Amino acid sequence: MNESTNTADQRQILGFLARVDRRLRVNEAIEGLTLGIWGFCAVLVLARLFGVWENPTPRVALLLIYGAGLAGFVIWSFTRRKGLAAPARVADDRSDSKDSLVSSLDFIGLPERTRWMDFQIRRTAALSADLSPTEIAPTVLPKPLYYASGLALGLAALLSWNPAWLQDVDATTWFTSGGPLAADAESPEGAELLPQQEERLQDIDEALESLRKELEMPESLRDLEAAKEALAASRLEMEQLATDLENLGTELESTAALGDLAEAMKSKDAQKAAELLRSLAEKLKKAQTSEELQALMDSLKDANVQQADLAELLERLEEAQASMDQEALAEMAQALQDAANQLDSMSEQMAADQALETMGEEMQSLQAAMGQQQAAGEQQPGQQQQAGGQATQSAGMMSSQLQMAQFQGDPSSAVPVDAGPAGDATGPGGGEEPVLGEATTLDVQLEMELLKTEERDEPIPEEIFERLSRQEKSTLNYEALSQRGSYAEDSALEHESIPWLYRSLVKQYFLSIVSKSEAKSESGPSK
Amino acid sequence: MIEIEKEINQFHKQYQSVQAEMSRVIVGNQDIVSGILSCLLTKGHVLLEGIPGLGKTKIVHTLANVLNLKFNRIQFTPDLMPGDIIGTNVVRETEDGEKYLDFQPGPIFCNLMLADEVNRATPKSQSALLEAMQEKSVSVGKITHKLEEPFFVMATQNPIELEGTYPLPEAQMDRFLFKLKIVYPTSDEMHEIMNRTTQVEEPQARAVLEQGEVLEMRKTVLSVPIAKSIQDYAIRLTLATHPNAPQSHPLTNKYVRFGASPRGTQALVLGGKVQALLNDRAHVAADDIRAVAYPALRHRMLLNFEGEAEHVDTDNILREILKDTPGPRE
Repeated sequence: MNESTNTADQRQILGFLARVDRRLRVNEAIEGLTLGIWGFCAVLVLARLFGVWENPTPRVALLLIYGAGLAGFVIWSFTRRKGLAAPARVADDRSDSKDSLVSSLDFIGLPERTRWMDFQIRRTAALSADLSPTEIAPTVLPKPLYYASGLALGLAALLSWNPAWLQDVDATTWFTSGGPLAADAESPEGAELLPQQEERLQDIDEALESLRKELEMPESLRDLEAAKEALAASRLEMEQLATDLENLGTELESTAALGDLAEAMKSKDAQKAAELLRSLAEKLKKAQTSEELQALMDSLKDANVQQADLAELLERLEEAQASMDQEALAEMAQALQDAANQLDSMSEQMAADQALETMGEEMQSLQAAMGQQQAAGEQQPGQQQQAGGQATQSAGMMSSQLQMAQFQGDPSSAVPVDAGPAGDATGPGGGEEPVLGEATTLDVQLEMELLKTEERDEPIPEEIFERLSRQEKSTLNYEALSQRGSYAEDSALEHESIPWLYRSLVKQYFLSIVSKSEAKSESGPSK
Repeated sequence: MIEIEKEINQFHKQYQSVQAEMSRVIVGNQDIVSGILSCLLTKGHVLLEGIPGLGKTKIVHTLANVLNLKFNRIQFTPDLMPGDIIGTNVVRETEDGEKYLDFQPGPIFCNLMLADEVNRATPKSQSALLEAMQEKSVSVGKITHKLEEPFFVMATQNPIELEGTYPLPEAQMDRFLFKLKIVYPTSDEMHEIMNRTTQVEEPQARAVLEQGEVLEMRKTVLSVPIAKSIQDYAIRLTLATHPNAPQSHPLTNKYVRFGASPRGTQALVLGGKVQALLNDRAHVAADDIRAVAYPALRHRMLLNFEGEAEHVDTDNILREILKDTPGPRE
């Protein structure tokens, strides 16, 4: 084969493919341009929306940047080369050459070729000579390009269009003076509002103002405002109290009676004393001299009150006297008020003492009942255990009450002598050893728990089982034997099996109980 | 250039003469005949599958007559032994009284061998064909006997009578270049078959091709070049039959246990070359690959349990693979 011919065939194929490739790239650039113009339309709209279009400098810069970018993209898409394989595939597809161009292009790139390959190259060269690149890859201006171009031109013209008559119109003036809203605002109908409407408008304004304040003011500021208001109110109240005290001081002059207070003190009626003292405080405020107060102090001393609380009360009264000497009415009133409070606490303590006395009486009765229960519990251990639990609980509660009474120094809360088996024998309230009373008999319950035993003359010989078991001849069913046992319920045997060694002992125990109960029932009804 | 054009023209002429002569006896089944010739011209072997009575043996007989090649037929049965196929050594005695082993060639020593109902023989006997089909030689004892070119095995098997059969092992199946399925003839073809076979004289095929011409045609086929992109397409098709491979098809992953071996790609390329020549082209196109994809790959895909249970046909999987595998132009 002629070498020059082969080279010419290759050049023919490659030239054809290069032309096809160029046209394909033009088409790709046109497609890119179409996309760019669509993007330009979008940029125009966005520029108008964001106000960039009104300013000349950003507008020009935007157009320049976008135009440069679009031009660069078009140039890049046109100049980039992806090789000739793609145009060969396109040409094969569109010319229905059954991969001739692809195969020939592949054969051209091989360093060594067979004659069949050269033959194929020559055939393909002849084929490519017959093919027209314009037919294989025609330049196509897509319809979207037209649409995009038209839209872009229209937008640009619309945005740039600013006719003379439109420039003459002042939009601000038009909207403020000639607009329908301004006309409505200035209409005479707006001035003729009814009083109710005005009132509503005012309410609405106030509500809006308060709402605005609530919305604007933080929570802490609102709290501070409330605190300020409370402070102002308290100041007003203090002023009112001062005036009241002055009035009371003037009225105190006309009152002089302290005997009732001394009586109340002597009778330890603290509540009444507190009331009298409060009235005395009112009188003291009215007293001009300290003689009456001195008489009151003497009468209080005569009350022979030795408790620390009363001493403290006297101190308060002396303070009040000193304050009266110094004519400090406010301090005197405060001292008397403290004394009244002290008397209140004393009254509460006296009420507590009375409650403790009542509790002590109840305790005595309860301990008596417990003594009876314990006496009965000696005969009925199970019953005693249950009753003992309750007694322990109640005794524990009483012990705590006694502790409280002794701590408070109440001599009237005596410890019962026959306290019975208290829950806490080592407690602080334990005096002498508790004495157990007579046990109560629980005959009814004992009768209920009576077990009917099977009379057996001879004890069961244990050898029967052991012997047979050792000889491995035992055929007795142990479970059946237990069911045939001498006790009442099978469940009792299942839960608590009694060994054979202790069975006679248990039997004797229950028989003794039965005999005792029978003897008591014969003697008479239990107490 | 003129020589190659002559070669192509000569190939066309010879091929068409064989087809024409076979069509005198065989009614329809042009694709089958074309496939058999493609296998013959690409040093391959063919497996014909079809129910009884569709003319499998008749096609092979006719081809043997048309090609004027040495033809042997072996009826595969369960008691067939490898020695019955490849031959055996027999003890002979010289005139001097010396005894020696003499190889008695079996029926495999021929150009065209019909292995009728190949799946009825035991795997041991089936394996006797392995070396012959791949290496074109037979080893008996320590001596390897070369088979005469062209050596072409045409095997038939019945897909429905599976009782007492031994399915061909994968290694044996892979050695068949194409697996062709013979289908029922159409109504017109049936009429023609009746007309031809119920007469006093049945049409007979003449020998139109000699052994040397067949070898020349083989050389022509193998000379057809293939571009790398087209070859890449054939490889991608083959890889698409491999389960759990990057290029595998979803259906392959679902139903196929083993995909086609590189022999499958070879079959695609060689069959594509024959198709290219038949289409008067000096290069292989993607369409040529697609044209032979079914017979080249259908028997190389081994279905998994799910595929067997659902009676999946590998042709359906291949159809989807061909549809979904992008071509060299995409």
